[in-house]
Amino acid sequence: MRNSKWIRLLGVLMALVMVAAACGSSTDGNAEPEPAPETTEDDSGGDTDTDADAGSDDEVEAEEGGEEADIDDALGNLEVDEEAVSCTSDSEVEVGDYNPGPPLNNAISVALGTGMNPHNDQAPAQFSFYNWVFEGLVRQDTDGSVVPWLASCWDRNDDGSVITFVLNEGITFHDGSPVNAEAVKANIDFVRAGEPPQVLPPVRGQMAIVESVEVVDDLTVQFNLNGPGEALLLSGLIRNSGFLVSPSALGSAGENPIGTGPYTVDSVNGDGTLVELSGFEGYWQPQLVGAESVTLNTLVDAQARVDGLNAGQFDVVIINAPQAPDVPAFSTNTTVRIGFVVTDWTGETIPALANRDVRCAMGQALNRVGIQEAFNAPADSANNQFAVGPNDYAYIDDLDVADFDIDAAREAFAATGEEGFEFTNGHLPQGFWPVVSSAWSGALAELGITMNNEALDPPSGGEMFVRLAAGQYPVQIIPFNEPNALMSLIARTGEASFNPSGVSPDGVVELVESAMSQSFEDGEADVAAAWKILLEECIFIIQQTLPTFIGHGADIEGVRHIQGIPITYWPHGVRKAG
Amino acid sequence: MAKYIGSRLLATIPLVFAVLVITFLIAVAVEANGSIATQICGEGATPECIGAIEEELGLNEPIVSRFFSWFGGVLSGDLGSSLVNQNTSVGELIGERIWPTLSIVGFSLLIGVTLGLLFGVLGAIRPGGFADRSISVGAAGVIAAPGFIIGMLLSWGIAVELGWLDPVGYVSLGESFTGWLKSITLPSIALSLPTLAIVQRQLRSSMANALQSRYVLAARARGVSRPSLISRHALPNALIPTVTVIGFRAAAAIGLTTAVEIVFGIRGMGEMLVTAIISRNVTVLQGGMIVVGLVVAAVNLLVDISYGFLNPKVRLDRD
Repeated sequence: MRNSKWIRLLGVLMALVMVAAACGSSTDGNAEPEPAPETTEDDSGGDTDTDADAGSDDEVEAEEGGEEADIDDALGNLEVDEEAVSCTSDSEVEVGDYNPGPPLNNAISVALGTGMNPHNDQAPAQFSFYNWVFEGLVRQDTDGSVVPWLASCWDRNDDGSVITFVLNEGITFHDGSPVNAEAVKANIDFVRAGEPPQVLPPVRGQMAIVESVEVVDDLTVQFNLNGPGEALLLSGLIRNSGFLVSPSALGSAGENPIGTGPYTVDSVNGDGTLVELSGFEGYWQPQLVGAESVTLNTLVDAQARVDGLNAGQFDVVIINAPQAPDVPAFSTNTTVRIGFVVTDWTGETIPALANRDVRCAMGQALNRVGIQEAFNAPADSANNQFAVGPNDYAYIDDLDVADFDIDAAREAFAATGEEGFEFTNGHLPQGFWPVVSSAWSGALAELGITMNNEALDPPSGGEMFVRLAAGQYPVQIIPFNEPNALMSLIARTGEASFNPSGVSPDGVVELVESAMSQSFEDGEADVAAAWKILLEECIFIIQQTLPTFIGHGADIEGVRHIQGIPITYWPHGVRKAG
Repeated sequence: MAKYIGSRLLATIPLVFAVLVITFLIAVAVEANGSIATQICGEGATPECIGAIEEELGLNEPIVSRFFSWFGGVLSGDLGSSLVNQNTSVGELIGERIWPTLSIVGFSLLIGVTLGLLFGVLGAIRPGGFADRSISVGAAGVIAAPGFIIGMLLSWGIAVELGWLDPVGYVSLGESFTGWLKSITLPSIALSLPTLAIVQRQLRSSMANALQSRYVLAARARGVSRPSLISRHALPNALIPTVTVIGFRAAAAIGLTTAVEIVFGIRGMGEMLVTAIISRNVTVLQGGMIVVGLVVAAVNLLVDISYGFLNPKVRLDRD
């Protein structure tokens, strides 16, 4: 009898140890619908793999157990080196040998469910994976700048309403047809007139600024815009609307995904969770075809991706920040900014929100650094403006936004003479979204303001933006996930879709219009000035930046991020040694 | 017996019809709670985009006409197209996804039921003995730990640390038999453990009762050998409630496979259904639920039929 008691006790202990060990093991803290989300799913808003943790402003290459090896703080947003891209300068494309390495197996967190039709998918989380197969006239580089790609250069007229691209010679699509001005015109015209399911309206919208496209000669194509808008055009061209599809496949790209990229599509399974690619021998920069074949496997569980990497089943995987020490090597950089937007800043439903001092007192109650520290993220990932660092486009060095001080916030709110009020904020239910929302609502309660937090259902970035556009919440936590500071303003000021009030503070709309009439570089001061107004008016209350982490084997070379684009990397030149 | 099987088959028809109706209603409810058009439009989810996508996908049609159109398609074997990628038929998608799930569920039941029966008999032979107590403690631990935690432990220990098997992925039977077996072993073990534990506990209990019953005592008094006593007298009777439990476990395993598929990176029905729910891919959700419902109905039918074989009273009553 005595023995049996001991045996029972031992059994209970073993069960407890087993459960405790399991609970202590690394899990996917993001719960992507990935998804995202994988928002997921989806876009950086939620379906992406934007995890709750960390947030480095810097690109970090780490080898041997995840130790930091190199810091490159030259991260900007959308920047253009005017001299380098101008057609007055000579530039030559480097052409090396076709020498692909061993097969490359990737595990990603979102499915390419549209059968690889680049025009039928616009979510930032997905669109970058099309880069394996499709390319555009320009591309966004690692440092965030826009650089010529299929085009060798471009020029603009004085007011930026006519942009002329000169194409590189000798580039062909996978089916052998030439990439020439006619092909560019056919693509842009197709996108501008396209309907679902061939072209999604948001993708079509990326080319809304284009009035017409003219073929100047075989390698020169001219974009006539309906106003000054070089930056807007470039922002569209680096995204899905700019991916060139062989003219023979326009209208059937889902079944015939024929682009110009370094890989051709062998197969896509029914729901896009397994894409098999082969190196394209006729690629115009053959040295950048890093693998003889590639697979893109969608695995929603981040731990499964890491396990697969560590067991040698995968070579490159999307990981969450806490998993970085568990992989042989990783790289990371900043992607999107997260913050609150006071959509009802005119006080339509909550009159007190029309009071700038109220909004700014609320902003002062947001403990950016404390929240990031709670996630073990670097303190400098707490960020109160779009630009991440002083070298970034439109960085505001004299921004007057109060740091967290709950006592001062309480006093500032009391000084407004406003009564406490109540509203609801909608947030994605996974990852850091509910934590940040709940932390802020706790602080607002100290001021006498009740912020109820409501999880979005369905839990997707799309749903978040629908509710933002409808102005459903007086204040809402959102990602500022446009490729650059100007695009973010364009989408959220004046009568833009994501500015439900339909108005902006004095001067903002004019500054945005002024920026659009100039070259991207020249318009930087106006962009910064517009952001400064919105931030100091406490209409945008930016909280943090989010990083993307890519885990890979120690024998993988060439993994490079694309600034501003979550959960992705530039596939060209990624190679496995051996 | 044929009459009994026929009556069971007939009783399954309303069940299947109910599955179809409920499936359609659930899918409509899921869609009403957030249209797939919103998901597809993503950050560009303006009313214009949502309207265009809904029209394209036929989501603006009245529910009744959508039901009859869908029901007619189902009867003719057409489950429609995926709303995410309309080039893919739902039937084709399910065809890709069902084999990994059936492989895992089937193999897990084989492991769980075989070992559960074995351990159940072992425990019942000597109740309170060392074997019985050890097995009971193990079973309690397994029931307490969710399948996905066991799966993660197996993946980390056996696949990542020891490198004996691959931690993720599925190899089809047509591709390689050993590859297939290796790829389903860990997920099947993870899924089988709760079945093993529950079957063991049920059989041990009913077997212990059977061994204490008068007919077994009488058989023992007649000098029937102990192996014969167990296998020919006690076990058949103890199996009747156990078969019911096995039926439940088979149905539950189909549901529980979702977590296991996600942990082991296997593209199966469970993972497909979760993705379909999140993305509001209603046609895939409907198709997947119908197939799962039909499999569960088939399992119930098999359990009912097995009663007839195990318990003559059942089939005689029906006959």
